[in-house]
Formats: sequence, structure tokens, C-alpha cells
Amino acid sequence: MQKRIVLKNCGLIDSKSIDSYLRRGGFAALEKAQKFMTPEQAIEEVSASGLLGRGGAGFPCGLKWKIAREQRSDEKYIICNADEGEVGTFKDRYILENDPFTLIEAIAISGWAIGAGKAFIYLRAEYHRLFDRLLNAINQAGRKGFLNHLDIELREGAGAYMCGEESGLMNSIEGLRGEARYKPPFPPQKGLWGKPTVINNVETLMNIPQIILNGSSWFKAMGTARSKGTKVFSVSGDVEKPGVYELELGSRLSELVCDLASAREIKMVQVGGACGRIIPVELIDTPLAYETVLGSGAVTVFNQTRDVIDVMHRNMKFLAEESCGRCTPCRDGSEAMLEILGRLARGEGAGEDIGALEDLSSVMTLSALCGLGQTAPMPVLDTLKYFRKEYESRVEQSIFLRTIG
Amino acid sequence: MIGLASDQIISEMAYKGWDMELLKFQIDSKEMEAFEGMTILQAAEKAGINIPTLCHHRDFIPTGACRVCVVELEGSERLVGSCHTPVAKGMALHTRSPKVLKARKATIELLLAAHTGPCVMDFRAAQCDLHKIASDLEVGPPRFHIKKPRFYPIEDASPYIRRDLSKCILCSRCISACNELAGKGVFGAGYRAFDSKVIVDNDIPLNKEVCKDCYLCVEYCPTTALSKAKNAGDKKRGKKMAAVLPQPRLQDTRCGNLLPMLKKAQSISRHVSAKFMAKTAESLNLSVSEVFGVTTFYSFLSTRPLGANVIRVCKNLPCYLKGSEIILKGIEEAIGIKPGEVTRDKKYSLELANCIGACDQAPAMLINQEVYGDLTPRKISKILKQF
Repeated sequence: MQKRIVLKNCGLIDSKSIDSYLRRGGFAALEKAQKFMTPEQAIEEVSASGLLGRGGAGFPCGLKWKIAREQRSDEKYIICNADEGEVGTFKDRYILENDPFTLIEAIAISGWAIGAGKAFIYLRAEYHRLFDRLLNAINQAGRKGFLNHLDIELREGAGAYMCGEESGLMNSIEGLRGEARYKPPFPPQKGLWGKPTVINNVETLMNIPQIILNGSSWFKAMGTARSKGTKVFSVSGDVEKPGVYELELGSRLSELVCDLASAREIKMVQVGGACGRIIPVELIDTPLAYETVLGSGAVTVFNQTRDVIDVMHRNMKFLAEESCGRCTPCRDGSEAMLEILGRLARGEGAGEDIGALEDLSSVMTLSALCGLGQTAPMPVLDTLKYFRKEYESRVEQSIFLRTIG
Repeated sequence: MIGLASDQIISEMAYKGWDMELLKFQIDSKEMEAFEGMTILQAAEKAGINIPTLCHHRDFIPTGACRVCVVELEGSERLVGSCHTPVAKGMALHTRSPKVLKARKATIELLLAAHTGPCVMDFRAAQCDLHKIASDLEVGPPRFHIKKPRFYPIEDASPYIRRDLSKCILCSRCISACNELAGKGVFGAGYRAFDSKVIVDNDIPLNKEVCKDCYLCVEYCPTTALSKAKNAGDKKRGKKMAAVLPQPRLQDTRCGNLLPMLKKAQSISRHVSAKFMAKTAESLNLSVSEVFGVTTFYSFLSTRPLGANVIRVCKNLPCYLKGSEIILKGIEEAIGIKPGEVTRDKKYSLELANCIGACDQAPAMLINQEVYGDLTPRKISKILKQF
């Protein structure tokens, strides 16, 4: 069953008019925070709620804020990451289309809490059509006096998956190539232009007003031991009803793809996008949570007719093209994996291919500079685990074809 | 100039070093002490432990690009780059554990496979650090292959420097040397992913106009990608001109305007022209190669003119599963061009896009800024008629 917390207002308010948002209790959380709480108390409330980042990495939101709050600096920044580039993810688009005001309120609260005077919303270029809607929401909120403490600037990407990764995103705002930076230092210590910076995903922020209004114990009551609250999923692929669904964390994958999205004859499901995990149909009852599998909430379903190696080849093509090119394991490793998967897909495999894929996965996971390079081999590793026979028989077929040809 | 970051903390801390406590930690089971802010690499050097490096040089801000210097940190799932990770209290580090050696070897193999070789017959290979590390680690012929290893024609137009980018491992030390030491900014990083390349201006061959004879880049190049030209003079060592160092980009918030400016140029003139890049570089106090590097990083910016209407067909899995290839074929037939091309009347450009976030309406495409979803071959001609 769906539980709409983040998507509470979607479809019920006019995304172009702040009045309709105010009628549904909009900006009450900002008011409550500013009137009845100290920034420290607000951060404590977010920490106590157990809210984890919804963009994929799952870092505790309250901790990020706390670190940034504690830094001594003349300037601090808030960045809302609206660059959802993960393949199969469109939940943030849905949120921005339908409820930009909650987001603005959340940014206003977070800016106030960490003591930032400036916020950026980094919108991906593919969503340029939403630029005016967001700008309108910022302007309306400003005119109503909700943004007196914070200047929100709307920035736009120019087509780079890498800019959804926080260090690439900061480089992009600074006017540099959207390449990865090493950590530490972490953005809450030294981020944008070397200043303390909190970067939150759209969906993470959407939870903030209600945590402030209803309290952390209300939020904590939903979900599992480590995964509190709800998650918005983007379901696509071989399903009858693709779309955006919000479920309590810990709900079963089968509920999402079979009951809600009406998938049939499933072979496997990719959860978390191009860098995500592969769940074979035998494990379709896996709970969706940080403890198991979640990522950005992209859920792509593949039916029985799909060829695992073809799917992995296309997946790797995306990752190889979108690598920022800075570090060796990701730049050259994804290209080397693409070469192997391409040959396997064409039936030109060789005996050592599977071992080479595993070795490449290992070096990328262990040594790549950023989270993208480190997780890029995950789908290949998962399919090697669950569909190894398909790889092995492809290699055998290739060898057989060569001997007769 | 792109790496930035932790060196600042490190240097700040190094200066404040005297009032900082000494940190105790372990490298290869040796008990060690170091000041806060010291990198693992620096600490290891102090202990007489050699960690191989390629992209790192003590004279430059670390970039963390090559990943050869990774070491194992107990308790951490991933390896950490020793050239940029500061030591912390209680760390237990291993610089030559089986895990480290395996990853390091694989990285070296990738670097060997990715450039055009083999260098066995090249007398210059003796000077190449990559080859030295490869033989130290007993790396044989790489197990991995790359479809099209980096190959570029040799650039010998300059009377001073010969560039053979087929031997380049993208360590970016030449970029650092030219920016941070010579203060000239001749080199920059261009393009993206495997196409990444060290560029000069708008990716032109190195020539006399853009580069004089300081040779700093040659000195710092760990491979044979850069060497003195045959007839170059006998000047021994380049002059470091740190005095004319440009302000660190980190502080310069004006550069934040660069991407919006490029995007505007793209929307007005359908591409980012060489002239515009030169002008922008001047106005923001950047080098042309930096501006070109940013432009070519992003797929929505183009250095050649696009058509009046840009069609971007999504090619990723959610759209592929719903038949994006048939849609692409339909569009190709309707307007008579392949992806990457522009129609003769300049009316359309066709591009393949990576996920446009319309997977619930797959197969989908963007035309200019609008999404067209749930496409069928029949719908295509209807949609195209609107333009």
C-alpha cells in the first residue's frame, strides 16, 4: 500500500501558486522552527528522526547538517541536488513538477539551521522545462517573506551524469569540469569554494518540513531498524503501470513491482539505476531498505525474454560514457569492461572473460576515486552471481562457434 | 587546477603544525608519529616506505587521479589514495598487502592497455615511470583490452616540445606544471570519460605561439608523452615563475558564471564558438583550454553548430526495453540523418541521449526542451510536423 508523506501535496496543490500551498499548511514548519526552536534543536530533531540521504548514498542527514553547523566560516552553502541522472529515476522530476513549494520551504529550513546565507538548486539540463516553475516558486516564497534569511539561486547543468555526484556537482557550480574530488575533506567541512556545504537530494529535503512539524518520533515510527520513513520509487521497464510510487521503507519489492506496477513474468529487477543492484525473481520478496537494497529508488523491471548480457552491455555503455574520466579505474576500467561485455553480447567471448570481469570489478570497487566508479561494477557482479550460467554458456557458445567457423 | 581541496587544509595545518598534537598510527606494522594534516604518502616517506606514484608530485596539489598509490586502511572497505588522504589517529595502514598489490597491478594494466603500445621497441620507454612501476610490480602484458586505445598523431610543430599523446596516461602533471609553476595555463583537460585528453587551447597541436621554452612540463611528465624537440636548445632547467601565479581558482567565485555563459551562447548561436570561448576566457581570466575543457565536458554543449531543433532520443535501458531503437530508426528515416549529424537545411540535429528522466513515458525523447513520450513510429511524423 502506498503511503504518501513526501508526495503528500502532489496532485492536490497548484504547483504555480503559493496560496494553494499555504492553504494546505505550507511554511508552517519554517515558522515553527524559527519561532519555537533553535537551529541546534532543529538539527537534533532531524538527527533523531534517522533520516538518511535519499539520493543513493544514504548518509545521515542530521549529521551532515551538524558538521556544517559546527564549522566556523564566514559563508556556508546549501545545495539541493536536483540532478537526478541515475538511469530509471524520475521521482524528483515528479516532485518538482507537482510540489516545488515544499522543497523551497525545506531549503529555507535547512539554510536557517546550518547558518547558510546562500542556497543553490542544481537542476539537470534535461529538466529545463521545470526551470521557470521552480523560479516562480522561489520568487513567490520570497515575496511572501519566507526567504529573508536565504538567497536561493537556481543553477542548471548541461548534460553530465557525473554532476549528480556531490563533488562533481560542486565543481560544476564553480564553473569547472564536473569531475570528482577526493574525500576527505567532506563537503560539510570544505565544499563549494572551500566553504562548509550541505548537499541534499530533493527527496531528502521534502521530508524535512514534516519532521519539524510532526516530530522525530512520528517519523521514526515508519520503516525498519535503520531505514526510517518512506521512499519514493520510480518504476519503469517491463511493467504495465510505470510511474512514481511512495512506500514505507521495508516494504517488499514484490509489492512495488507486482502489486502496484503490475509486472509479469519477471526475470530480474534492477534497483538503484545504472550503478544499482540486480535482484533475481527468486528474491522478489526482498524488503526495500538501506539494509538490503535501495539506491536512488530507481526500479527497472526485466521480463523473461531479456538477455542478461545484452542488458549489462547497455548498462556499462552508459557508465563508460558518463565517467568523468579523472581516475584510471573508472575511466579505463569501465572501457575495458565494455569491451568484454560487447564481445560476449556478439558471441565472441573467450575463456578468461569472466575472470577479467571480476578482476576489473574488484579494482574499480576498491580504488576508484568517487562513489560512481566504486559502484559502477555492482550490476555486473550481481549478474555474475545470479546468472553466471548465462555468462558461462555464452563463453562456451563463442568458443564453439569459433571452432566450427 | 581542478583537484583543489584537501591540500589547503593540509597546508594550513602544516603551518600551524607546532601547536598540533602528534598523531600516532601504524604503517606496515611500524609505529609512527606525524603531525595532523600530513598525508599518508608523506608519512610513509618519512618511515622509509616507498609507495609508487604516477600522477602525484610533491610540487603540486594532489589530484588523486591515477590511483596507483592506494593503500589499505584497516576497517575501510575501500582502499584509500595515499597522496591525498591525511593521516589520522589510530590508523592502521598496509602499503603492500595482497589486496593493495592486486588493485595496484590492475590499475597499471589498465594504463598499459589504454594507451597505444607496446613500448617494448621504444628506446624512450626506459624513461617512463609507468614502465618502471610495471616492472617493479612484475606486471606482464595486460589481461584487459580496450577497443580503441588512445592514439593521437605526434605533435612536433613546436620547436621546443614534442607531444606524443598516445603515450599519455592523463596524470595531468603537465597541466599542473604549466598552471601552478609556469603560470601560463597552456594545457587543460578536455572532453570526458575515455575521450579525456590534455588539450592546448581549442585542442590544437602545440605550436610556437602558445608555448615558449620553459620545459617545465617535460620535466614533470612521468611518461614519454612530452619530450624536448630534436632541435631544441640546450637550456637545462625551466624557470619557475611562481611569482606570477594566478589567483587560485578555488577562491574565484566569478568562474561560477562560466557554465551559465556557455549555455547562453549555446542557446543563441546553437553552439559554443571558438571566438566566444576566447572572449569568455579573457573576461574571466581563464585560459582558453580551461573554457574548452568545460565546454567539451558537457553533452548539451557543442563546439560545432547544431540544428535549429535538437532531437535527443534516450537510449538507456528503460527506453530500450520499450523499443527506443525502432523509434530512432523512424526518426533517422524521417529526417534522413544519423545520430551526431545535422540535416542539410540545418533544421534538425539528432543526438542519442543518456537518461532524460522520462522512463515512465518510455520510449521518450527531448526535442529542444520538451519531452515527447510513449512514442510510436506513427507518432513521430505527427510530432515532427509541428516544427
